[in-house]
Amino acid sequence: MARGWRRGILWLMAGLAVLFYACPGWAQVKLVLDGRTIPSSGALMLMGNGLGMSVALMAEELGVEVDDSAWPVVQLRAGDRVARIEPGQRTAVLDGRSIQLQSAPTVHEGMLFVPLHLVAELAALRVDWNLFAGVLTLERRGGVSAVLDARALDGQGTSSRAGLAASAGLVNRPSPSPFPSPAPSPSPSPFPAPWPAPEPAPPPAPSPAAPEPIPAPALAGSAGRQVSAALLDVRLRTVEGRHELVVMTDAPVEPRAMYLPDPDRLVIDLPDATLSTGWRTMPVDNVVMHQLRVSSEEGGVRLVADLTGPTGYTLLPADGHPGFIVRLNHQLRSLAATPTGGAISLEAVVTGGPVAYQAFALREPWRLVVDLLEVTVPAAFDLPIDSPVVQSGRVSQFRQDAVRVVLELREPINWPQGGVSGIVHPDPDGRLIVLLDTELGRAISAPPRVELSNGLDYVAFSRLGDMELVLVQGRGPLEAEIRRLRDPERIVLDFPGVLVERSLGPLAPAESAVVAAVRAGQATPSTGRVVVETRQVAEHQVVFSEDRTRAVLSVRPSQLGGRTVVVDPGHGGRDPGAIGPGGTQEKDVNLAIALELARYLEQAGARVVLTRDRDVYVDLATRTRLANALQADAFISIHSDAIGAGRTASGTGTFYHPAPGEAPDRSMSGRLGEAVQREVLAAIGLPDRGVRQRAFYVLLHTEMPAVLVEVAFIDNPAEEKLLTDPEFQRRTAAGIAQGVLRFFADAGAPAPRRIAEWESELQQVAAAFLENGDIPANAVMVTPVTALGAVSETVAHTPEF
Amino acid sequence: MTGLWRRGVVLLLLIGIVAAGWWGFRLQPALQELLAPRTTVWLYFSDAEAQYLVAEQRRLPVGDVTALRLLEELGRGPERPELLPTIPAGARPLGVTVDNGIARVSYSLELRTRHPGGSTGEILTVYSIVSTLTQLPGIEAVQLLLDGAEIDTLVGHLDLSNPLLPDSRFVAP
Repeated sequence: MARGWRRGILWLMAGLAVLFYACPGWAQVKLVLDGRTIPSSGALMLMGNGLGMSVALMAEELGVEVDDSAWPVVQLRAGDRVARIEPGQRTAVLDGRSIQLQSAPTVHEGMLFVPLHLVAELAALRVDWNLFAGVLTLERRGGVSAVLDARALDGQGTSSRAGLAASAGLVNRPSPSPFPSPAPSPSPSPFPAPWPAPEPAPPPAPSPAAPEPIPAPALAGSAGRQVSAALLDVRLRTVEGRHELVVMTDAPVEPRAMYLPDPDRLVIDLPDATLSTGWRTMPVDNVVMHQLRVSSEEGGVRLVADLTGPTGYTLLPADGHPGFIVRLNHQLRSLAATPTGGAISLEAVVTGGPVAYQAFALREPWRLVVDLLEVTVPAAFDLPIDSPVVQSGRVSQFRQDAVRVVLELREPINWPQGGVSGIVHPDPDGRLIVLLDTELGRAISAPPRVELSNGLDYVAFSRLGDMELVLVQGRGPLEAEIRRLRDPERIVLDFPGVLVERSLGPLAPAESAVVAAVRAGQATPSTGRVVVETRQVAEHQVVFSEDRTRAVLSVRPSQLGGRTVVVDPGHGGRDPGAIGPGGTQEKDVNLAIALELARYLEQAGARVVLTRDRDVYVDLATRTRLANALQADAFISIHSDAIGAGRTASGTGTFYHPAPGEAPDRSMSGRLGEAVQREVLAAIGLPDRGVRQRAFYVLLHTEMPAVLVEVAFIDNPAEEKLLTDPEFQRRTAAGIAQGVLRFFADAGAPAPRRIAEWESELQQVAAAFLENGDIPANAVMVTPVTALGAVSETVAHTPEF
Repeated sequence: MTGLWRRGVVLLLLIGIVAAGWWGFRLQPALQELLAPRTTVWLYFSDAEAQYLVAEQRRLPVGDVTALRLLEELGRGPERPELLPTIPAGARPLGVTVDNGIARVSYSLELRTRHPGGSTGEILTVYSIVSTLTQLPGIEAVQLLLDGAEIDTLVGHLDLSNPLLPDSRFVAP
C-alpha cells in the first residue's frame, strides 16, 4: 500500500514537471542595454507563439509605470501612451482603443508577463529578432537600443497556423534593419525557434533577385509625424514570378505591416498618410492575393491585401519614388521527401517561382538542411521519410522569408563545406524537385521550366445590341472554367494551360452599361485568367468557336438581381433515394440536375448555394437550416419519384406547402411551384401530375418560397432512361431555372428571356467573330500593361505605356 | 356376429369420439371466429396510378379490431388486383400505443430499408397507415416510429417529426 502511494506521488511529480516544462517556457536571456549587461533571468518567457516580458523588467529598464491598484486590471504608462491589460484577456485597451493581443497577459510565478508586441508598441521599441544568430534586438526610439541575446529553451511547437501568424508577421528582415520605423513598431511578435538555432551560420544566400533591403534610417531626422504623405497609387506587378505591391506616395512614409490570419491578410498602415478620393477595392485574383482594399483610418491610411493563404513578405524601398514595395513570398502548398537510390528527392508545390534554395550539412547530430528562400509554409509539419541515410524530417517556417527542411541523418554524409545553393524553376503546376545527392555531395534541381504552348492573342471588348461582349482569341483550343465573384461583382474565366505573358488592362469601356473593367493575367503558373468586372449583378454566357480557339463572354443585366437560391439535390451518400429497374440511383440523377440548375441560375446572376455538391449524406434538418441561415430567396429541392410494388406511374409533379398564416391559394411557395411546374413541363413534356400541397420536411421547415420537384418516375423504365440522359437533365434544369426567373420577374414585366435560348442568341450575335475571327468595328482591345490594376479609380484606367 | 365384432365397433367408436373431441379442440378458435359477430373495417391501398389511396373492405370479428391487427392486415396487401400494396414486404408492425388520441406506431426497420423510395411512395405508405388507424375510435393522429425510435422522415420527404392527421386529399374521392 505504502509503495503504491509512493509510486502515485512520484507519477504526480513527474506529471507536474512535464506540465511545468511544457507550458510557458522560460527564455534564457542576456540583456544588454546602453552597453550595460543586465541579468534578466526570468524576465522574458515564451507565451503562446511570441515572447512575453515581465512588468518588472518593463518598469526597471524601459521606464514603464505599472499601476495594479485596480487589479486584475493593470495600467501601463509610457510617456503619453497608456495601455490597460488584464491577465487571461486577449483584448487590451491602448490609448482608449481596444486592441487584440497575440496572447493573453499571464501571471507566472507571481510575475505578470505582457506580450512583447504590446511592450514594443507602448515603449516605442523596434523589435528585431534574428533567430539565425539567436539575437533579439529591441531598438528604442531616439536610438537607445537594447540587445537581447535570446535563446529559447523550449516552446518549439510552431506547427500551428498561429505560429506562422507570429513568424510571418515579423515585418523586418532580421538584419540589417530593412525599414525605417522610428514610430512605434508594427507589433511584430518575435517567434520562437522552430528548433534550436544552428550554431554555424549557413552559407550566404545566392540572392537571385533580391535588392538590398532599405538601410536603417537616420533616426535623428525621423520625427516624421508632421510630414503628411498622400497615397498616389498602388500597383501590382510580377517580377520574376514574385508578386509585388508597388505603393507610390508623394512623400516618404513609414509603413507598418503585419500579417494576420483567419482570413489570411496583410495589413499595411501608413501613419499620417492621406487618401485622395476615388479609392476602391481592387480585385486581384492571383495565386497569392484575392483583392486589395484601401481605407482611410484615423491617423493614416490602411491597405489590406486579402491573401489566398499565409504569405510572408518583405518591405523594400521603391526605385525612383518615395513609396515602397511589398514583395510577397511564394506559398508552399506541399512538400514530400522520398529516398531515391543514394539521394533524397524533395518534391514541392509552390505558387510560383523561381525558388532559390540552399542546402548545407550540420554536425552532431548530422543533419542536412535545405532552406527554400522567399517561401511561406502555412504550418510546420513532419516529413515522413525513412531511408538508410535519413531517419526523419521536418518542415517549418524558419524565418519569415525562408522555409527550412531539416533531414535528420543516420550517419555523416559527404557534403561540401560551404553548402550547395541553386535556383529551381517550378513547372507550370508549381511543382519543383530538389534532388540531394548525398553520395556525390551535390544538389540537382528539376524539372526545367516548361513553356506553356497555349496563350491568348488578344482580349477585346465590344457591344452588339444589348449584349456586351468580351472576345478572347486563343493561340490554341481553349477550355474555360467560369466563376462569379463578388465585391466587386466580377466574372472570372480561367483558362488552364494558357500563358498570358503580359498582364492586360484593366480596360474600362466607355460605352458600357454592365462591364466596368476587363483585365487578364496569369492566375497560376499554369492558368491564364480573364476577369470581367461588372457594375451590377450580371448574367453571363460563354460560347466557343468550333475549333475552340475563340471564346465570347456575354454579360447582360441580371434577371435575378443577386438573389440567393438554395438548390437541394435530394438524398445522397448512404441514402440512395429510389432505385430504378436499371439500377439508377435517385441521388445521382438529382445531383446531376441540381448542378446544371445551379449553373443556369448562377449564369442568370443568382447567388446559388447547393445543400450538397457531391455524393454525401446530408440530413433534412441541415438542408433547411442552411437555407434559413442564408436567408435565401428561394429553395428548390430536386427529386425523382417512385411508387414501387412492381408497378409504376409517370410524369412530373411540383410540391409546395403554404407558409404559416398564408392562404393556400395565395401562397408564395405555391406561386413558385406554378411557375416551375409550367416551365418544366414546357421543357420536358412529361405528363402533368400538377402542383400539389404536401407536408414534406424541406417545405415545412424552410422560411422562404420553397418547392420540391419530382422530375419523373425513376422506377418507370422509360423515364429512368430519360433521367440518366445528360441532355434531358440539362433541359430539366433549364426549365426549372426558367420557372425561377418567371417567379422573380416583376408582375407585368415582359416574360424573362429563355435560358435555353441564350446560347444560340449569343452564337448568332457573335457569329462573325466565332466563325472567321472578325473583330467588330467597335471593339476595343485590352492592352498589355506592365503594372496591373491601380486601386484608385482615377489612376486605374489611365494606360501608361 | 361375435363378441369380437362388437368389441371392434366399440373401440372404433371410442377412437372416433376422442378424435372428434381433439379436432373440436383444435378447431375451436376457427369455429369461434366463424361464428363470432363481425364488423367491417377499411384498409387503404394505392390505386394503380399511385395518385390516391383506395379503401378496401375487410370483415373482422368485433373483438379482433385492434390497431395492430389492422396493420397486420394492411401489410398483407390488397385483394383487388388493380390495387397496390403500400407496406414493403418484410416490414412488420412492432407495436401500437395510444395516448390522448395519438397512436404511436412502431414498425420494423424494413419499412425504410425495403421501401422503394420516392415521395409518392412515401406518402402512400405513411398515409395508408394513418388513414387505416384513424378509423378506430380514440385514434385521431398517428406518430410513426421505426424500431421504437422517433424519426424526422421515412425516406427523405415527409416530415414525420410530429403526429400526422388523416388527410382526405390522399384518399380517392
